[in-house]
Amino acid sequence: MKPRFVIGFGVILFAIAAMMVFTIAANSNLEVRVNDLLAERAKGADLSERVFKLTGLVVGESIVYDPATFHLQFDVVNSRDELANNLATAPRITVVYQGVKPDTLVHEAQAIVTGKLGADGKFHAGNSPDALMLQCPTKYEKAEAAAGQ
Amino acid sequence: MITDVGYLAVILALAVSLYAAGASLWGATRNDDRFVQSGRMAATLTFPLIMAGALGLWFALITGDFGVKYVAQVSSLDTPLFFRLTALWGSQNGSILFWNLVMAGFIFFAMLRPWREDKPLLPYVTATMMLILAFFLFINLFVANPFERFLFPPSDGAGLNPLLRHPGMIIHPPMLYAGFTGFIVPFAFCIASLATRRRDNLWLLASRRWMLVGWAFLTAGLFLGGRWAHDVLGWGGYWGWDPVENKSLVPWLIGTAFLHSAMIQEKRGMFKNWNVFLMLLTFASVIWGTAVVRSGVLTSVHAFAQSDLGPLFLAFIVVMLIWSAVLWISRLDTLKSENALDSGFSREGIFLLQNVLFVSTALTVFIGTIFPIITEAVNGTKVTVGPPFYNQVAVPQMAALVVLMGIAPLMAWGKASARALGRMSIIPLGLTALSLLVLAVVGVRQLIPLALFALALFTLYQTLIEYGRGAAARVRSMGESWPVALGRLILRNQRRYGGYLIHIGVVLFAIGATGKGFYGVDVLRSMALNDTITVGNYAFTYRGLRAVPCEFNDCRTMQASMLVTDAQTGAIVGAVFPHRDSYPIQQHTATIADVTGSWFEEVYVILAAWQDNGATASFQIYINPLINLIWLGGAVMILGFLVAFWKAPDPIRAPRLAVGLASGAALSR
Repeated sequence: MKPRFVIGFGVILFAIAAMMVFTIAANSNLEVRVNDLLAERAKGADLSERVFKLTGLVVGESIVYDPATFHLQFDVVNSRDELANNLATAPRITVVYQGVKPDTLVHEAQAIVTGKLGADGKFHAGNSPDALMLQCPTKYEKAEAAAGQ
Repeated sequence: MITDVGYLAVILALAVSLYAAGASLWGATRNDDRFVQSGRMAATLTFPLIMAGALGLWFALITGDFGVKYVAQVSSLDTPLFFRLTALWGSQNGSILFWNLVMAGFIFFAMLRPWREDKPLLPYVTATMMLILAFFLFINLFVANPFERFLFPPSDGAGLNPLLRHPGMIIHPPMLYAGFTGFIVPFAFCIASLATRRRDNLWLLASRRWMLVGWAFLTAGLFLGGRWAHDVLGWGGYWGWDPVENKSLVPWLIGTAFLHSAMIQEKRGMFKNWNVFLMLLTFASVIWGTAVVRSGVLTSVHAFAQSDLGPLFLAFIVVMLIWSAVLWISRLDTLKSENALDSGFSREGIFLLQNVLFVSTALTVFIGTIFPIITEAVNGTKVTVGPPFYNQVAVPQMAALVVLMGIAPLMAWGKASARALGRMSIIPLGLTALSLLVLAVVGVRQLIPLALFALALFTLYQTLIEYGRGAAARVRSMGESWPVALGRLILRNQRRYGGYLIHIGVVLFAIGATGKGFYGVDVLRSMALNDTITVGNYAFTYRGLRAVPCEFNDCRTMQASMLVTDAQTGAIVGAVFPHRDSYPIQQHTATIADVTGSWFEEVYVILAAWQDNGATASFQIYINPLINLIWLGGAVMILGFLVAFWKAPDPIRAPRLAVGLASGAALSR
């Protein structure tokens, strides 16, 4: 291949790579679990401007939803083990979300929330459509295990 | 009993596939055709065997044999027959069996094809396909076994995940699977060509149609998946840059690049090396995509549960990549180009640029998808990138591809003339300018959507003119009528004009995606009974809530009714009845939207919640302009594929058919 083609495509690829680097810098969210976030806060770091993607398991009894104002609040804990065995003492974070309560928000569901840790100690979900994602398929696997053993 | 026979058949299929691979390779090294043919027969046998396995599992699903763990997991006594059938791919273990079934189906037809001048490739094609099939069968039998039984069977099952109870689920997964596994045939031909050190285009010519089939299935699967998300997930959208969506897009992008550059090798004997690279990359991305969904390594809304498949897939990908890379590099001497690229300003040059952009777009999506894995490996923390990353980096590259799609047909092979290009672009450019003016008057004044509309419209006009130019030449030289000329033009060169039709589909999609992306409206409102609110050009009046019979036995439905009128004139646009189905057994609710509006602008309403038996209720209202162009674009792409793929029966019948089409067109006017 002639050098000028190589240079031409090199320039294009470099431009795309540069675009990627800049966009990633502006749009990346750190994935954390409940314990990681609590540990960060315990260190006294100022987290109010960082966007996190928080993963935790939903505590069913903590779900509060006001359908008139669309204010949704629930707690998440770190692991399924904590949810089953020492829920009372397990460290938890309260998540605040403004919007329709998702159908899949149930006890033990895994919530993936994108947002910021506010000064009030609560985790405020952002307002993008995927700010609150829930994963439930494990429930079916569990039902299967419960049915079998 | 019948189910266990099916289980046995799948075990046999694994043994047979290993035998077929061994016999083929043995026959190839000893140059003994008896072994090669034996391997071919054995490979053909895997499809009926796996089919027996699938029938066995279907039998268990239909008869409600909850002793089989998988059956208890995805169905219940209440599950209607229809969804018992689709439950075969309703969860991990069964869907891998279904995957194997579809893959073996492709292998079956590849083995039965007439092997003539490409016979030297046969043993290696068989061996490659059989080793891959054996890997997936191994997983099916030892890691994700749908035939596994309980010691003490439960009396009822959990039922199919309510989200999967949608007509789209009948065809969306099979389409995607067919798209993915369909690529196994061209991949095997490519490997066989490398293994036999061939210098010709044989593998490319033999596998081009297979590639096209896989591509079409993948395209259909992507669009149907978008439609399912739009109808069932209740978020008004169709695409969210989720890892599981991306994993289908990456092979699509690379496969599309291959389909284009394969033309250059066919016509000009160039890009041989690059085509091999693209083929290997396409299949590697398919396996990567499968690993993404199956292993649960990435957080996604629709990933399967965490499973222990991750390391197995990783090992398989690494082995496959190393093996194909070694094979490829050791054969570089056979892949020399027959022609040099003289000028970048030529059809070949544009194709090369387009190929680079396809691969860089695929790479962008790939990097975005695996970014959490990369950062975790580098410094132990997972960092994800959201939709803005894809919109800002991948979408501009796609927009550039849309323009190239319009320009490429105007460029001559070898070296194009800028003057000719300019002359031919005057009309489409003029039409585009005119359309932009109309759009600006209508109220589209933002820069980015205007630019995107301009790119898409230029390509649309240019492609339509391409048809017109060809037909006009026939009208002039042959004295045919316009419809006959158009019909014959397409039949004379189905690949070319089918391809252009696919381009038109892409453009329609691009226009729809721009409209929905930049002019979509989304509001959430709480309303009292008989309240009216205005959103966009529409007024919405909440008319009440009632319980209606649910579609399935294991759920209850509450349905709201809402009147939609034109905010200015008060004319009735339509009524919507969005509803919520609750499934007490699965502790799950499904929000089912209802739509009204016009073909050009969809009004999509979700019943979000209600209080006091419906005295107040809240609704999420989406206004989706041009979203129907997205579905239309998908349909046109598949139509284009059919035109390009379908072999016109024979030259005598073909003109008659064109006349038939023409008179049909005349009648419909």
